[in-house]
Amino acid sequence: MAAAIVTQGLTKTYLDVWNKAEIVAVDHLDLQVEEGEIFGFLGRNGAGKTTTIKMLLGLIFPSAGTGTVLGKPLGDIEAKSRVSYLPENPYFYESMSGWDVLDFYARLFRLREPERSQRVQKALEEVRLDPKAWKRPLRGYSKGMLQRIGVAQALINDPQLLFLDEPTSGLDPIAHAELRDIIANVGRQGKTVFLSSHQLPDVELVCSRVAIIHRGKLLATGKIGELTAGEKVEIRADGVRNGVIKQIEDLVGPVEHSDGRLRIPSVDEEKVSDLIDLVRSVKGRILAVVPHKRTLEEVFVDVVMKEGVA
Amino acid sequence: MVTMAIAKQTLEDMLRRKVLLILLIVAVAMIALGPSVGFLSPRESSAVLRSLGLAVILIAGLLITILAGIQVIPTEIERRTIYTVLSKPVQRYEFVLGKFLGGLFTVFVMIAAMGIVFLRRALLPGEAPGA
Repeated sequence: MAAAIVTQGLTKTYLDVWNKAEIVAVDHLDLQVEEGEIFGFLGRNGAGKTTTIKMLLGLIFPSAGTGTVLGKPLGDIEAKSRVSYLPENPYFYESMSGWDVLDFYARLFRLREPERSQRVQKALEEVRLDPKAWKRPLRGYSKGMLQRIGVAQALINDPQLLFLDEPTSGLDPIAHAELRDIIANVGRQGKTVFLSSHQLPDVELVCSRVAIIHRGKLLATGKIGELTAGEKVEIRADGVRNGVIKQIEDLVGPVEHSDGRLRIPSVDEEKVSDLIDLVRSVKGRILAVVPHKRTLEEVFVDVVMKEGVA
Repeated sequence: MVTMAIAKQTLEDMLRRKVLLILLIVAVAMIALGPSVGFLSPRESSAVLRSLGLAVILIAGLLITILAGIQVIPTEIERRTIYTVLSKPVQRYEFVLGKFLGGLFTVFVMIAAMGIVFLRRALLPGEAPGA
């Protein structure tokens, strides 16, 4: 599989005019996104997510470093026709109707009638916008409807690669779930999705790989399964004689015990079976083996907190 | 094609600006009401009418041009619609040119509207007293 996005040492610095200080928004970012995957791009507010997306789209120019999008250099016009972008909190021309806005964006892709109308209709259906609202001006749309127009706008050119910046922010739970399904559906059609989001449960659900950035630096990247790996298990047992406690502590470290009852809050997966053998060898009873699966949220907080919060 | 799509969108957007519409309404009202101030100069009322009308078109046209000119691109940036447009296969010059033409069409439409009212007032002999 070819890479949809590659960046090497991508950097963006701004000059703070008042303090004559340089602000590093994105700091030597090396990313690789494969074709066909839904890639989660995570980071706190101001971590440099949007700046990175803007550089990848050629909206702003990197201060240093290079990259390719769909095999073309950043900002390449040919690549842009196969890419689309949904900005965070998008605003559209509010006096135009949903249909007209999409028709306008379709024209920017040099689409001609009758294909243009077909694409507009298909996009509006795909985002499940109420057909009664298609010809109404956008100023009467709710936030959820506007967000649907935003996603429809990003689907109009049948792109190979979509950049979605916070697509689900500010939506009610039902609209939120629908939009998440739409994104997952886009992924199933073999399109690559570059999803920047704070909704970590969503990311965990739809993304195959993620990258976590903090203050412009890449902290972690990999498959979600790999990042959340290293599962721990809690074990509770009964009827364990004191004689064997020492052996258990040698194996897994300090444990809680009283009157033969034993609770080990966190055991590495690979030691579980040894531990059970040990308990069984003294006729102890295993009461419970409870796996603790780390969520993406815990991983994110861990990774970011390690760097220090400021 | 892209440039014209942007120009058309700009024109439609501009024609819905309240500031510009109010300017147009005031200017048209002044031109239309011109004949009623003809009494200020009884012997040369048609000259007064003409110079008043042309002066109104000149000043209103100037104001509309300035307002359209300063709004065209900054509102795109403010609304962040510029990001959705420039992330599509649109060259920057096509965007600027489209916006420029859109502004130009706006001014043209506005001046044409004032001009029609002026010509009806100034040239129809029955309507303009003393002409």
